Amino acid sequence: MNTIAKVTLLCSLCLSLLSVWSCRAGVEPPRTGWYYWQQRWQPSDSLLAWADPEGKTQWYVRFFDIDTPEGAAAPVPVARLEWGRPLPDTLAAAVFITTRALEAVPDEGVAHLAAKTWQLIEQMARAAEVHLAEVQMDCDWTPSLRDRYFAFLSAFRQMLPAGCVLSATIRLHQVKWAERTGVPPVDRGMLMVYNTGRVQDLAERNSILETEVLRRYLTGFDTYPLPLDLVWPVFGWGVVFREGRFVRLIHPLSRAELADTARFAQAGDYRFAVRQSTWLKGHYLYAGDTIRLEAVPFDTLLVAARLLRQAMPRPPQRVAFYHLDELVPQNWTHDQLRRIVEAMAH
Amino acid sequence: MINYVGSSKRWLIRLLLMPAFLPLVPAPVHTGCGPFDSGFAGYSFFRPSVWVQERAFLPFYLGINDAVRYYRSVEQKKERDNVMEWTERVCREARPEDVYYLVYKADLLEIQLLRSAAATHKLPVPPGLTDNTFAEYLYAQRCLETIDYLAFAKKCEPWVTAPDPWTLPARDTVAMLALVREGRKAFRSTRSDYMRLRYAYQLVRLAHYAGQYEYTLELYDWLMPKIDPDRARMDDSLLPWWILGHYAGALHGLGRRVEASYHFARIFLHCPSRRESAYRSFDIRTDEEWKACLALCVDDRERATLYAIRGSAPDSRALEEMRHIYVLWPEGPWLEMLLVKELHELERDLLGLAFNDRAEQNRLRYHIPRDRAGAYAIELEAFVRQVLEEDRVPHRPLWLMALGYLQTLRGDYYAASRTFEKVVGQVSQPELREQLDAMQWALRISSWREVTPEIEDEVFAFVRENPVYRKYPDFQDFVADKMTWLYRRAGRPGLAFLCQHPWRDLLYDPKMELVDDILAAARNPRSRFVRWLTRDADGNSLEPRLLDVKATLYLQKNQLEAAWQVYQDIPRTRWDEFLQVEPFAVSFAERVHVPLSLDSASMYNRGELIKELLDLEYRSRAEPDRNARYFFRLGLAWYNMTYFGQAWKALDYYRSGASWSRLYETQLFPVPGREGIFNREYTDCNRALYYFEKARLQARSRESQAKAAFMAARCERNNYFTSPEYRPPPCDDCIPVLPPQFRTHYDLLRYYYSDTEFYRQAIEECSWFAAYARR
Repeated sequence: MNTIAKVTLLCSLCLSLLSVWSCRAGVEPPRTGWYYWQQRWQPSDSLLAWADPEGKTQWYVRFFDIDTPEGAAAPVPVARLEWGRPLPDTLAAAVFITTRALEAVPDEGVAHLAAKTWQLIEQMARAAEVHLAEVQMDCDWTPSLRDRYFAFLSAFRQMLPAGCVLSATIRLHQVKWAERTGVPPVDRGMLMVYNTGRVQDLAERNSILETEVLRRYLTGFDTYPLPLDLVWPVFGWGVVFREGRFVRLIHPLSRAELADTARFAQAGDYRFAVRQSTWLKGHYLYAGDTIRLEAVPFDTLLVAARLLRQAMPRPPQRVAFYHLDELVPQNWTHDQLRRIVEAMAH
Repeated sequence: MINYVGSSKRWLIRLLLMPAFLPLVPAPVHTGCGPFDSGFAGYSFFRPSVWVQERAFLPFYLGINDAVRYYRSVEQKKERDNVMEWTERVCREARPEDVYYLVYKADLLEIQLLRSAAATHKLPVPPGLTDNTFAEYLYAQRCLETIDYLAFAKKCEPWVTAPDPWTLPARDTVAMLALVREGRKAFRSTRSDYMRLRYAYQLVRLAHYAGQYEYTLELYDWLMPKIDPDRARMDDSLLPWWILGHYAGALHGLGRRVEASYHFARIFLHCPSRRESAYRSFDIRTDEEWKACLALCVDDRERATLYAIRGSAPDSRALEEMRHIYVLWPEGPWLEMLLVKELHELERDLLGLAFNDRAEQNRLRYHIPRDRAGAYAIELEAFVRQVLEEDRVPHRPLWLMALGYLQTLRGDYYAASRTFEKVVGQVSQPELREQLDAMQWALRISSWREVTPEIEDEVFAFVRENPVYRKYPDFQDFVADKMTWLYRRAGRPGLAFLCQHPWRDLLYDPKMELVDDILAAARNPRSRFVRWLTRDADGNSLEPRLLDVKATLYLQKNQLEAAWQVYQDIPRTRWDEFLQVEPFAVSFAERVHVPLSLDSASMYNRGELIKELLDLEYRSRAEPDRNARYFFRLGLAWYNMTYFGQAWKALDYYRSGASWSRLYETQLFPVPGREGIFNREYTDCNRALYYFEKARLQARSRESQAKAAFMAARCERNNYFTSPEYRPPPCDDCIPVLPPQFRTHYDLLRYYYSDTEFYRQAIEECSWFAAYARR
């Protein structure tokens, strides 16, 4: 039996167990989903089989970002998705909008931007021959940009065909302080349960998710007006500091990639010092640089899931994971992911 | 109300705006943006363009001012270079704008019509091209090969350009490959090697954009040997590098990253207009790939270029790369390019660190300075010394200037001064001399440790007379911040304040120590600089105005004798300049801006007001039988002088209606557009309440008692607005509910004075009171 077949069999077994458990509990488990955030859709067969053994996964695929890069006078789509293999038949197209893009568009230009955005999404969906079940907007809006972003969403919503859901990513603080930050005019919210810390702070332990930080954000769910789905972080990255200053993220990065002791020296549980200048995944690092390796352990994620479930008045309909890359199957088992989904189901 | 627009450090602008210097005032250019500038606030006296001859890439990593302009200029440069090459190679007589039109703007039909006309000369030049010198030349000379090429390029255009980023680019591989076949035929039949070169560019680009990477490489290998490099003058042309860019792109598409990166490095080296895109396309991921890429290089120039690309990363620590480049190609442009980059970074880290008023913000937000910036400056300085000692670089004065500036940055002012002196005789270019002047001034100002009249005079002369000050706009902040720091250290807070703000900013929240310090300086200006600082825009001494502010501060504290004493020093003829109010007016209306009475007897300037308050205090004690009246007048004055009264200007210089809704939280409000300046509202009604209560108790008539109780009730209500217990009402025009402790006098009125005429009148005229009375 080849590897793919073995993986597929194992996945099917896990999913069967999950469905048996669900029937026993009498609760419809949340639908699981994966985010795919790379610019080129070319997951390997084995990765696809691992992530979606039964073809039931809800895919959230980043189509493009909207930004106002250096040199541009108005927002433009950047890092547009390319596909080296067919995309899933049905998916949710995700679009990340930078605050810089919103700042660059005047209030009277918001509807035009929405129309352009939909035009490009539709073209891409048609070219890739996919059915859009959902469009998801991802923007960490600021109070000063709130009205503009919400106007953009309202204009965009009017263009969507019937049956296509409009969702928006929601940060934890936006639930806790919903009155202050506002609630976006969309059908659903996707709560991002990560980025709780300050990634650029050298002293930070883990900027992706700390349960102690999460506890501070567990209010406001009972009154939050949008139905919320959840997305959990299963990624790991290296945060590079040079002379104490944040330089860049190396994404993804695993402990194994820092195992060469001639180049890297472990300086604590999650910190590594660069011993000699070296290239690492396309980034040139200098001797003396510090790498903080960040990933959320399973136990932490499970505790966080339980905490969040207690805070939410009802289980989410969907639980997704951010995001699929070749390292995820090495770091996570189906059983672990199943238990996180289960923790959200009761 | 004082309301004007201005910026901090206005004194320097004022100094500059003296008539003699008006034409020389430069527009500030340090509107930071670009890859590096994202809110950092510091100084720069470094003009990279003066240092580096090869400037095409500089703005990319120096974040110079206007990135939009830079990137647009890169695009324009590509087109301009292409037009120049067309002009130079095909028709030197043609106007560049005509070449531009035919190459970039004309449509296919126009070019085809030109082709038909040129082929037979039986038809004239098409109407749209009649005045086009380039088209006329091609027509007259029957340059059919060139026109055919232009027509072919037009056919390729839709497949290789993306005019709208919001539209998926057209990528019809079949159609694109059909065009490649057509182009190959044309290539073969074209005799001009230069036109063949242009066809090669079109074909390689088409194949690359069609995603046919293997075919792109094949095409390149098939086409390029068929072009005679001498006849095509490939050494002088942009096209070989443009073609190589697509070749490298195809290699990259095939996963042959090392080869691709090597070719991108060659483009970086040879083609300035594609340098930035070559840098971005360079894609080495591991040490092995890096070594392999180095192994592909044919000479040290290419190897040095790889290090230059690696060292050009925005956060690089480029000394490592500089050492390699120094060994490989010391006379090349890369060493100076990276030197400039590192100097620029260290300047941000270290220049003026001790006195930069934004240093804390830079540290918290941007981690500037970097942790080991000082040590790195020493390492770089050692390298610069080595370079100077070995004398292998072409521009020795630049390296000497770099040494002097590094010494300045790390605080070795004596050594820096000696180094700069050595350069003076070696620099002749005006731009470089000016740069040296700026650096010497940066050194000089950095080295000041205490403020003396001589230094003050030097600043005055520098700001007013030195052209370097105007050419380097950051000197404005640099001088101001340094002087502020020096004055603070010298215990001169007022002069420090004036170095950062126009004197009127004092009025938002006057502080006695600042007023006293400036007053002392104004009375005895020890230098031209101090004299300038302590005068207003018309050149008049600030002394009388400062005395007025000082008296106001005493008045706020009810220190009437002290206020009166201060006012005696202001010439009586000037008293009316500072204030005209009606502090004893009685009104039911809750308005602060009411037209002043025409009756001059009821108008007071501040001196008269202080005197009147002193008299009332005295008479209230001296005439116990009539003191209710005096207490009531005192109450009225102290009420009207608060934030809530129409004579608020007596105790304050600036009042904002917007503060109202937040008075329960604070009395200090940031002033929009005036960084670091806060406006304090004077809201305390307790003194007025005290006098109204005394007036009520002493008054004999119930009408007077009711009147005093009513005013006391207003004081209590205002105290509620400014207390932490205040809760804003649900709507803007709702009357807030007063807690019992803030409505004792309203209740008093209702229970004890409801039969008075005043009560009836108050109900009629005062909607507030009517509302409370109904409850």
